[in-house]
Amino acid sequence: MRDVAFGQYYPTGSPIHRLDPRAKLIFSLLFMIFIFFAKSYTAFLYVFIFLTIVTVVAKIPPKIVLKSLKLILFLLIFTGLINLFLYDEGRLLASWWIFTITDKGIDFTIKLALRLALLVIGTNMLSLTTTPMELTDAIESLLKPLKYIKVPVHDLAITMSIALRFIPTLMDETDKIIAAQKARGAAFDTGKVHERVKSLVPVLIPLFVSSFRRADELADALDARCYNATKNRTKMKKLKFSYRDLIAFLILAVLIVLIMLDCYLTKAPSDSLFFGTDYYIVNLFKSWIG
Amino acid sequence: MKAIHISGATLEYKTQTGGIVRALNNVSLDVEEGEFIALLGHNGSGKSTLAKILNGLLIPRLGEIEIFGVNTKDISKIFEIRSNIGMVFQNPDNQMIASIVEDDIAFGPENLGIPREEIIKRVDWALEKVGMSEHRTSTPFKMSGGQKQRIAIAGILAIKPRIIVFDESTAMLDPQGRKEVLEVAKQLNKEEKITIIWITHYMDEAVDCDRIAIMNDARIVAIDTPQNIFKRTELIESCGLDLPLPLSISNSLKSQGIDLQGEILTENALKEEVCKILK
Ligand SMILES: Nc1ncnc2c1ncn2[C@@H]1O[C@H](COP(=O)(O)OP(=O)(O)OP(=O)(O)O)[C@@H](O)[C@H]1O
Ligand SMILES: [Mg+2]
Repeated sequence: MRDVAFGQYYPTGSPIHRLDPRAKLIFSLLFMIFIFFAKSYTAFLYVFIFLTIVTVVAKIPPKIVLKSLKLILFLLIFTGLINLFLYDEGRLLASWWIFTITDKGIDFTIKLALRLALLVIGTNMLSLTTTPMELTDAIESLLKPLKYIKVPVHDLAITMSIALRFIPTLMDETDKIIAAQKARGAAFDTGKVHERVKSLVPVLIPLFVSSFRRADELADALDARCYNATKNRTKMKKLKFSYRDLIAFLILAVLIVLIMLDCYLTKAPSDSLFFGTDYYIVNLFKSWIG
Repeated sequence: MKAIHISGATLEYKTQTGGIVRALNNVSLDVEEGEFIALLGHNGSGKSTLAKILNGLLIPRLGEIEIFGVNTKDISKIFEIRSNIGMVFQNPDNQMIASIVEDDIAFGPENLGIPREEIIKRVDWALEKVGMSEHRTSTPFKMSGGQKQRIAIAGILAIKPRIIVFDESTAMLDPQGRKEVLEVAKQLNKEEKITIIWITHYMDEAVDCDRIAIMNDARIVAIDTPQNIFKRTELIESCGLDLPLPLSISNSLKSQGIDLQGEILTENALKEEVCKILK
């Protein structure tokens, strides 16, 4: 079993794993923004190719990558159905009561699902290739300028680090308390919903009590280890941008340029069903056939 | 210069019900640099409170404490004191702040603003001292109590203290873990000349230290070499402590008229003496 402390992290030691976590964080943000400029199937194909390259370089099995979709499957289907049946612009293909299916509706539904799926897969890449601790360091480093407006960036980072550190410990403890309460005859998985919720109280109370005691001891341990001794705190692990980050950025930049070209430069007539490059490809295809 | 000088320390806690508990009652103690001192006492006798006044986590109402000549009341020097006197607590889980071993060990020196290269050297050195070098980049969560506690010790060592206080650091460990941790403490005392205050209520951990101090009801009631302390059987028992097992066995053998020589504190000594008689 992998360690809960590492979240979804999938260690392979690939070049992508070794990118500067700050770079990965920024890349993910850029990806999230620019995927909303992808409006044609061609653009989605670019994104797909990009993500395939990332997956291969990161040496992560496609199965693991697709697993993130499971969580949003319900959302995908639900929003898909609503859009499909309630979208009423475009050429009518079928209709029943208030439900209509139009060609633009189908187009819109597919694109929305694609966009959502690619967005989730893309941002999930970050947690598959970066440990939560690296992310904490990255956030601390990126927020550093806020120090000058008196935001306690370092305290926040330590708090985050401690929170991460205690997740497995508290999960373990919760298991133990549940086992202890079960041994006394408590039932957690039978009964009505409000009974089940009520049965959690004897778990939560000991958990809180012990957490407060832990916090007390932790505070002493922090003080004993000279916490706050100097404002000029140093860091053992120094994040450093390298040529790798530059290469990764260039590849991402190519994707962004392609998406933007497709979005703004390739003009399709506004009455066409197809957008951007798709329009030209479809026309090319038509003339080739007929 | 004395490593630790305590004179007349008195400290009370307020309880939640509004009462007052006296945890230290006119306690005085002097410790020379390089000594290994065991502090024994039953539950609630004030041992942890004594530990916490040493690095200024608590300031006593009366009395003075000096660590290498620096008074703990001097707020401006509190971090000088804390970098001179490290503290290892009972529960290893509650003293670790990072999920990766090396990050946790680096925490102390980072707080002190030590340069990066020096921190890396210290982490290497500390891990080696506690025999955990191969676990540098792992996460402590799945480790045994003894291993976790050794990492906690490494985290203290990285501060380069001249004194380390162990406050019942073996209480939550299995026998194997207890042995490991005590071994590390003894080694640090011998090789690095670090002064050790070893708080425990396991008698057998105290047998080969330099001096034993016994606490009872907020006072230090005796402080002497193990040989001399263990002669005072009634005192030990009246303080709610047990004699080390080999000693209590040899005492009962003696009372049966068997002629054992000297004060027998360890299993080996007991074995040798019994063998002599049997030959
Ligand atoms: N924060 C506190 N508030 C109130 N009373 C306290 C507090 N901490 C300790 N005490 C009381 O002070 C006395 C001494 O406590 P201390 O923790 O120093 O004992 P100890 O020898 O370390 O015991 P143990 O072996 O249980 O660790 C005890 O009676 C305890 O109940
Ligand atoms: Mg205690």
